[in-house]
Amino acid sequence: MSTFRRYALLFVIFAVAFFLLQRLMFVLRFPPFQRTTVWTPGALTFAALLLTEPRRWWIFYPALCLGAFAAYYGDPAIPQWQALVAAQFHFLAVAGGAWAIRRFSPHRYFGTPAALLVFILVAGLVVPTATTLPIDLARWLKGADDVVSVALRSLLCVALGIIIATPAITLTLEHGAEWLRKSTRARIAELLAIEILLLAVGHFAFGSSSGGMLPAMLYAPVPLLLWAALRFGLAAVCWALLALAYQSTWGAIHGNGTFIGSNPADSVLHLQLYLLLSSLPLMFLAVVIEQRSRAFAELAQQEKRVSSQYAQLLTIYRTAPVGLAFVDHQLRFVSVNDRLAEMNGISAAAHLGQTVRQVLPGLADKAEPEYRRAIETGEPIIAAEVHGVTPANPDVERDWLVSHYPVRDADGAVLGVSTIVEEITERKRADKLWQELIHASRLALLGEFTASIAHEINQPLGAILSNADAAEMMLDAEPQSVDDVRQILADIRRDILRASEVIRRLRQLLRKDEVDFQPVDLNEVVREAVALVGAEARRRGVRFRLELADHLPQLRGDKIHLQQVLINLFANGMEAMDGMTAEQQLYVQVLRDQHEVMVCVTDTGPGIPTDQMARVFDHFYSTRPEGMGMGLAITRTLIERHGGRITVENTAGAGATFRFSLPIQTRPNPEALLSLRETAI
Amino acid sequence: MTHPDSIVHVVDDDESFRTAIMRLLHTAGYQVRGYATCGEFLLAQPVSDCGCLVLDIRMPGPSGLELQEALNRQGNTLPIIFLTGYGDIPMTVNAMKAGAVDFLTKPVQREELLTAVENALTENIKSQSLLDNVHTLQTRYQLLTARERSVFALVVQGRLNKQIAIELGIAERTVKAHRSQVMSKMQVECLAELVRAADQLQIGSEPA
Repeated sequence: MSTFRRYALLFVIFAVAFFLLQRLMFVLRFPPFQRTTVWTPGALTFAALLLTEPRRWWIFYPALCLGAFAAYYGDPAIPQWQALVAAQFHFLAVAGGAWAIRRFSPHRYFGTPAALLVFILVAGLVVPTATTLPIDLARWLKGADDVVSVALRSLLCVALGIIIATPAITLTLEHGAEWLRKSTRARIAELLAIEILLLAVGHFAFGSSSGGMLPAMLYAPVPLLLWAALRFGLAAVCWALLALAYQSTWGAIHGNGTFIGSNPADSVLHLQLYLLLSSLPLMFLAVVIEQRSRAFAELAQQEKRVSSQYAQLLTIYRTAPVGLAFVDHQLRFVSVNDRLAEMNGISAAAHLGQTVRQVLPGLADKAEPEYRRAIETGEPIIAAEVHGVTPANPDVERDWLVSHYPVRDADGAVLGVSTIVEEITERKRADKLWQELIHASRLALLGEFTASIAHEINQPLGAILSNADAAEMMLDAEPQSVDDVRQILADIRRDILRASEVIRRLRQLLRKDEVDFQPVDLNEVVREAVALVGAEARRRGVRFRLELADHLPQLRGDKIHLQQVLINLFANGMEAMDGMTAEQQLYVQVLRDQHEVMVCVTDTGPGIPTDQMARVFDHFYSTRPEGMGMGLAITRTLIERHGGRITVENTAGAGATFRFSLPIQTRPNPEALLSLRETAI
Repeated sequence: MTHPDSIVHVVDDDESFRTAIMRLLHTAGYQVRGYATCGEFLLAQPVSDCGCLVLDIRMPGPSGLELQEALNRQGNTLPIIFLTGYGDIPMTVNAMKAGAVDFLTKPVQREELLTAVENALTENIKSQSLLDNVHTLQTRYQLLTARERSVFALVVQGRLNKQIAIELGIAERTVKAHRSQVMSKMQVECLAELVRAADQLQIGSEPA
């Protein structure tokens, strides 16, 4: 629909509705007084402005003028021009009120008691005053004698209309269609029943001469109004109140009901006060109930969400491939998942209420202090290794990685410990095999240097022996040649240190230790590795060129493994250059940038054939006829364990360059250690 | 001590080891000179032929074996005692074939070393004196005339004066005169000595 047509439709609907409502008002006028009790056209304007954006409000102005003009056409009580003037004031007042409500109302106009209060203060006090005051002033200026009495009734008339009918119209237009769509037939029938009963009771209480005179009958509609408030909310209450207002007014105009005063003006005031006093509490009640039922609905929604999340978590908990348990502060199992029950060899149900010692007698001595520590310190214990047996298989020793996380209540007191148990027996076994493989490959690597290493130890030993012989001969010949002997002893000491240094380096590499991540200085590691293969390089006529980095940060790593990497690269380089007539050189560079330290080992050999480049780090791939093909594969694994990477490329004009980098701030990575299995052969 | 003119040359790249060996040999009374590389040794030549070489087999640059080869090519007769860190049999065989007098394994025992050096020096001196002897005989031989040389060759072949006279077509008396001239020039007393001299000079085996 085009904007114009939409606006035209709005214009027509509003004008017609205003006209009809105003005409309804004429029907409900007290004959000589020419005034009614509840003036609803104002509520129509108010609802229209609340429901539309302020930039479209201008549509309603001409519609209002037209509706008012048409309604008062031929009316004997109020001349048309007066109605038109009143319409101007009315529109201005309502626009101001609607703007204020839109701007300041805390919650959806009628959503909370506070919002309703704001609405009532603005719509029931400010707007009616602004609407009626100009007419009252005009009457006062004309010298009418009943100005105050009429002004009070006009004010109440406009106020009641806006207070009761605005929520009814607004809420119905806003939510009516949706309500009808969503509600069951029974519920719609219930609402209809309330309305019909209300009409019937109203007719009996206000419309008939039989019961109408009893003041007690004023309470007859109350149960129905409460019913509407409790079950259907504010809109239903307001519609019921409107029905009540018009029924009682109709009755009073026709001389029925309890509101027959000495004159029509009194009747109007009585009715208005009755309606005001009964509508305000009911409307507040309806809002409070709606608010509460909304809160209940939200709560129910939330509970549904929570319970679905709980179900998800429970499934994860039960089926997780790690053992999970919660143990209270007396070390009794409160909950256990299936995996842990399986590990422990006792059903999950049998754990509950039992202590750690009862369930795991074999492990309690190790486990209990850990639980206690977590409970007493409130600090988690992460990934502690436990070795032992469980009732599941008392003959097989196993390994677990156990973490304890203290769980606290709202006050911060430790309730117990949440425990995560991961079995790592297989992983440890695989890791041990890997350690052995790495060690074996290190031994094999050093085996290639046996001759030169033996030479390196033999040299100082030979010198020591000859020096000792010389000293002995000197003392035999000239017992006083102490100075010469002292010099000899100094030489002997130096040679002993030299030999023991070679042995120290060798022993260090031959040792079979656990992986040990420590701060390491890569320059130092490079120097040691070069010293170790130095004799072999000399034997082969290979020259080392070292370029170390200044201000190298300490890395975390395993010194032995890094040396193994370097020695392997050196051995490969030397092998690649074997038999070459040109100068054989190994160029070792240590570089650093912000994030990593790099080591490049460049030989002057023939380089690696391009078609084999991709395979050099594979297992069982070897460039050497006697090589097993594990060296570079293990080298890569060792570097990856340090969180680094290794690459190879051919250098133009030189041989191959192996380049590995290690991140600065490498953390010891137990996962990397354990993930060796995946990179295994 | 026993060989005051002999010098023991020690070639080893390991300074500490070289110093110790030199110190030991020096204390034992030898004249010793040390070199860190084969090149250093070669640059120091001409060294006296009198002495011996204590040579490390494995060294950066030319190895001990290569030095041995070079010396052989030059006709240098300096006896070589090889030192090595480990018993490398093919290497030993090669070294011995090429004329090494001994092959010692590091660390080397004092007696072994001293004995080896002593043997090497003695042999060196022996071969030196032998060489000297031949040299003298050659000088004397140069003094002989062509006729005297012919007579010399035939005499040491065991021919009688008469036979020589017929063969050379000269008088027997002339042969006698030449013969006594040869004996005197070669400074020998009797025929047996002359035969030994001819042997050393390798004369008489070829037809005159």
